[in-house]
Amino acid sequence: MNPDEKNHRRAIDVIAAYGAEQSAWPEAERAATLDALQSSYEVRQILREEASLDSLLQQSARVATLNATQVAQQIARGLSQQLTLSQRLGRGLEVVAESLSSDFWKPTLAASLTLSAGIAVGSTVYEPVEDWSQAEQYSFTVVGEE
Amino acid sequence: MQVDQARLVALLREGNQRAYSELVVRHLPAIEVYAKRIVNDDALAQDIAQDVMVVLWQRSADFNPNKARLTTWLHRIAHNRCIDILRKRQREFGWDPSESKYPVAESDTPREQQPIDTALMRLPESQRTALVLTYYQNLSNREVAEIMNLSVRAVESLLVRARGNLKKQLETQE
Repeated sequence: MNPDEKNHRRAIDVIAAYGAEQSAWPEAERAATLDALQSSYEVRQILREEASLDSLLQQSARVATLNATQVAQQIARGLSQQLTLSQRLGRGLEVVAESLSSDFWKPTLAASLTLSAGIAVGSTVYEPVEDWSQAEQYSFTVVGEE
Repeated sequence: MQVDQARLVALLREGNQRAYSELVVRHLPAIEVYAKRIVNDDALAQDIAQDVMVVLWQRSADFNPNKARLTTWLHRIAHNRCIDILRKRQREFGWDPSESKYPVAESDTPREQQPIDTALMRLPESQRTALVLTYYQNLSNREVAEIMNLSVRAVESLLVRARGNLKKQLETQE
């Protein structure tokens, strides 16, 4: 395929995809498509067909009916209420943080750390006995020695 | 004087409600119309459009102005919402996607539809989305590709098929 044929094919593809309006064509390909239009009857024919479809597409009228200003106000109001809630939560966390900065929590923290460490060590060192027959034998041995 | 959109987005990220309202006023109508064309249900489309505007407030930090235009980002969110809803309907109605036709709930939109509207609604969802985003929403092929998570070539192929299918349908209607 020579470059002219390639441009010609591409112009057909562009018009078939984007329609007859030049403004809808990809900017980088607009000039080449116009050139192909001038030199080819086939491309002009396709442009005419697509122009008819474009005019039908224009008949589809969908309009926005929401009042954008009102919607913006409603959403902002709703979101500012959420903000108030999050601010309240934030304030609650601040109170906790403030109380932690005083000294009374230190014994409580020490006790809870000891408890947590105990649980952690217990759960890693403990190995559940899978074979209970061996466990029984062991206990008999111990009794037998006495 | 109209404030630059990049400035509005920067203000929105700081929690400025006036900037947010201005952005809603600028973008809500296009998103509402887009959703109407995709889901073919005015009330549902309005819900989707308002949801998108809530996302704008809540997740504005996710928007990267160096990567995309705000309208592209909002259309992408709207597109995802529309697809979720259409797929849910597909499950509820037991609709077979291979038939390439949506169950058009006529009672949803009691208004006189043009033959082109009916033909558009009968297009497979991906073809309709590509056509609506390109033709009616005036987005570039790259932007449409980004919204639909496809290549530009794939979008073009959808557009060619969409226009071809529309012509066939309209000829049959005549």
